[in-house]
Amino acid sequence: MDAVIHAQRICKAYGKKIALDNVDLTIPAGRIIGLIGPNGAGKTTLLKGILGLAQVEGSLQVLGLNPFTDRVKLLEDVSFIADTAILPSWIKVSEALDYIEGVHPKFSREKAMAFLAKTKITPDNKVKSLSKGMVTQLHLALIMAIDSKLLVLDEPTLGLDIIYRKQFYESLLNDYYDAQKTIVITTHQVEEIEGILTDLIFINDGKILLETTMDELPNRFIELQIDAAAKQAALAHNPIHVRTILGGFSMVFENADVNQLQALGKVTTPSVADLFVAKMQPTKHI
Amino acid sequence: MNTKKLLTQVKRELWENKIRFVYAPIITTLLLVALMGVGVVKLGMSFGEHGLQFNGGATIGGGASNESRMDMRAMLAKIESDGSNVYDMVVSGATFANTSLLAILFLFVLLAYAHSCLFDDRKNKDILFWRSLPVSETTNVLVKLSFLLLYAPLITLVLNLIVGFVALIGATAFFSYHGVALSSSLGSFAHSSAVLIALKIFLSSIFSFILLLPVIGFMLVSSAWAKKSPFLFSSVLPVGLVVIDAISQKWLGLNLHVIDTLTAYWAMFVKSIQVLDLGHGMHSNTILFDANLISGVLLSTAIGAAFVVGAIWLRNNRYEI
Repeated sequence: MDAVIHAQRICKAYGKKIALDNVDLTIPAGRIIGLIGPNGAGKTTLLKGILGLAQVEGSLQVLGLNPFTDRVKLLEDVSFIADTAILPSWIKVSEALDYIEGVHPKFSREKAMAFLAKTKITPDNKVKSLSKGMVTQLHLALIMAIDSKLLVLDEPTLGLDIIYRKQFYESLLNDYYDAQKTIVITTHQVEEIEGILTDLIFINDGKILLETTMDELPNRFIELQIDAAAKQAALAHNPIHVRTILGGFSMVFENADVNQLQALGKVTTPSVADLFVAKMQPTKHI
Repeated sequence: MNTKKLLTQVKRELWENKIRFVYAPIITTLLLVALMGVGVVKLGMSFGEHGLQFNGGATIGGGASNESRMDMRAMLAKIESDGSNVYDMVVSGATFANTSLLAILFLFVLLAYAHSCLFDDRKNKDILFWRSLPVSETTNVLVKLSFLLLYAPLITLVLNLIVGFVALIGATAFFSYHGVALSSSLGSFAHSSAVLIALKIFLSSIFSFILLLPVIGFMLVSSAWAKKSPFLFSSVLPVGLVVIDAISQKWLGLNLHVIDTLTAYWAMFVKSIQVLDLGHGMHSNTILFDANLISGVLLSTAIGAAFVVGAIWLRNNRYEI
């Protein structure tokens, strides 16, 4: 299957600040990718490049198109929700439906109305009268009614309470996602999306630190919890990260021999959050 | 360009600017029609009681109602014999009054719109929603430009036709009440050029807006460029350049041609409007453009178009505040 996103040596600088530093990335179709990174890592810049919102250096193809020069054509197959509440406050729900129906060839009004029927939002509502959670519900309903091949979500649940956040991801999986669609999500709430991801990308200081599938992750990374007595023996296996826990240490290893580590303590697969910390703060020995 | 997309963009502008573009002009015209109604009633009462001064001081009419009716017919016949058409006078008066009111309204409306149309969505971050949809910035900017160039003349034409029609009906009813036969009124109407008045104003205003393209284009650039106040940017920059040019000429003997350019542009604008004979447009069909004027108009249009291209470039490359 052709790659949905194919990036080679992507660079972007804002003055002296390097936002993307020779990024290589290939995202196949039908995947749900978590793009995780700290603030200022380059996530949003990378997404802007993918969406044609910013020009980047290097070779970047999205669905076979140059996202900056072919932006309008690309957006017939790509949808996105940015990280802030961006629906115009003056617009009515019915006007938003009319507008998207008028400009987007792949928008289905019936689908959008079906999604909205599950909420308390009515066509006469103005966006400024809706709560933040309802605005997100509306935006998601509009986006999910577009039959796009790539959906980009940049911190889509920022500022929402837990109920709305859970509903958001449930709707995404149950009502929208299929094997033909690709979803790229950036979020700081890593634990929430861990269960739905198929692929994981870590980015920091404009560089890709990790690119793996969730299936591959347990084979590649091991978390070992040990007593203090086993510390030196465990350190001999070159963990990428060490932290103190109650009564001992937790260490993360990459491409280590699980059989040898099992003899030292409890072996598990690190959570995405723990792996993220391990890759962002490597070899932090105590 | 996709017609459905264009129409949807036009709808978007109307939804977003309902008060500016829809309610304000309609309310303005309704107020004028109401004032016209009050004026006609007062005129009728005054004519019935005191008559009207006419033709250098002589008073016609007044007193008993039969006499006032006969004098109304006499007054209309007198007007017609002088070569004027009473319906032209009535409709042109109402139309020009409506045009003047709407011109004042649209001066403020369009100034505010030109400065905000490419700025507000950047400030509110709505732009991320609009840019998530397959609509090019070229389409977006050109639709906004067309609103600036065409909307005011179009809505003024429609409202002038309505006002003219109301004035026609009102005048015919007024004359009928005062004894003028309907056939006589219709005959007078048939010889009038009342229906052309609104159209001539429309064409003149279209041309005026085209002449204003450099100003409009510059305001669009300000709107697309500014980080804080587009109006401040678009007013301070030219004033600043004029001041620098004046100082440069006075103290350094160096002419930066800013003042000369603005003066020449204004002179070209005024002369072009005079050539179109706005204000006397009812009877003048002569257009006297010489080569200098034509080249001035073409140059100003080219400069305006360059500003619009600049605004589109800014929207594609520098859309964040």
